[in-house]
Amino acid sequence: MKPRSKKSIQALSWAAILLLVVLAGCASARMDLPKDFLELEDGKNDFQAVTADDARIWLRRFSDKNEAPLSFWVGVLEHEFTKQRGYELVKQGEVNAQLGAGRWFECAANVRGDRVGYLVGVWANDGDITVAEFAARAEVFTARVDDVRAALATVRR
Amino acid sequence: MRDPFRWCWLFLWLPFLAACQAGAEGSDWASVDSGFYSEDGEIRGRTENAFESAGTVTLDDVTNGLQNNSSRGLAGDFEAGGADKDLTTNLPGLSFLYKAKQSEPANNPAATSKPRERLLVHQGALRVEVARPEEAMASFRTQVSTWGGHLQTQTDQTLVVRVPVAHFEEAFAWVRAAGRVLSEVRQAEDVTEEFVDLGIRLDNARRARDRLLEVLQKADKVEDILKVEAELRRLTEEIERMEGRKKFLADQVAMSTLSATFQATSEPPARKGARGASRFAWINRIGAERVMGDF
Repeated sequence: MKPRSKKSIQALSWAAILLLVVLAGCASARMDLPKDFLELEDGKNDFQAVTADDARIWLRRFSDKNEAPLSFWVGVLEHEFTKQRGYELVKQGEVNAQLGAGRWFECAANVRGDRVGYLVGVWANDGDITVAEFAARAEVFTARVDDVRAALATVRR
Repeated sequence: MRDPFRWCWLFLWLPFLAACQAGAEGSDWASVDSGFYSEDGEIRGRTENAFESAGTVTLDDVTNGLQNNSSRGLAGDFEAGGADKDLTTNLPGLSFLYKAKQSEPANNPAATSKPRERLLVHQGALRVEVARPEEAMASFRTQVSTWGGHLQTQTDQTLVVRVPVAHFEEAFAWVRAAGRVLSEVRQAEDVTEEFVDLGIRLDNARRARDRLLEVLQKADKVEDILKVEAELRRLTEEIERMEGRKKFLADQVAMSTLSATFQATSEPPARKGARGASRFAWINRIGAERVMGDF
């Protein structure tokens, strides 16, 4: 058996490293779920969870080629939600998660005739935007929002 | 020798002196004149005030006024016929006041001293946009109860309520402040004349009925009795109809009517094409609508 050449071993090594880097880059974000939430396994790369009373958590990552800072995205989100979509901004704040420093907004909105509460957390790291969303009908949202807001601190890759 | 005509010049001054005397006493003359005119003016003023009063009476005033007029025999005056009767026909709402002017002494201050209010029927309608119509409607109904009002009808998100007239402005302002005002309308209908007219006609009808009852007691022939009874029935029906109308007007004046429609806040208008208002694609993929819909 002919031993592999040194060049081949080097090429395989580089390929493995590259694969690891790519996989690491595509890894979905995760978080510790508040009580009563069940993580959905739907084969997608997103992190989704629901409760029996239809509260929903959706954690996603988006690519940002411009690598804009968090402050920029905070301004964009605030403008989009309040000025463009008519959301009512209830409150906002900062969160220090395992992922880094982020920002959250709590809003109220009308969706298909229902009053809905909406909490969104956003992090921006080196061209990578992580968004954690929590939405539910108003009464369900009110009952669970504190737990979800606390869980934002556990968002990680 | 004395000049016999030396005092004649005094006679030339007599007219002038007389005029001066008149000037000295002019105040009395003037007072007579001004007294005459002021009296005339007072009468005219009273007449105007009386007509103003016709448009500014309260419920109690109207009732008392009618009673007073009745006690003064004004109702009887209406039936006296002649020019006065024609006037009352032409100005039914003001007729008893005209009679009052005729019959009252000119110096009676009671006719002018009391300013009176108009009888107004207040009505209003408001349409406001609120975030939570059910809550707003429940709050409004509670508020109406505290004002001493009540719900008249409810159709979908429209409440028609009756509130005491004293709280009409407050109720109107409450609904205006509940949300974004989409439309509003209000009116105050003056029913003073109709109310006064009804009172007079009612009083006359009652008197006529009383007289018919007297006639009925004295009637001997069956034919006469039947005629009087028929007239009594007609008169009684008329009295009841007028009483009902008067009661209705009084209720309308005492309780205002307000229609309030609480419309849900409309969702932001859908954007044409892709929700690409944001130039950043990922922004368009997040939001309450997406989480509740695309999850």
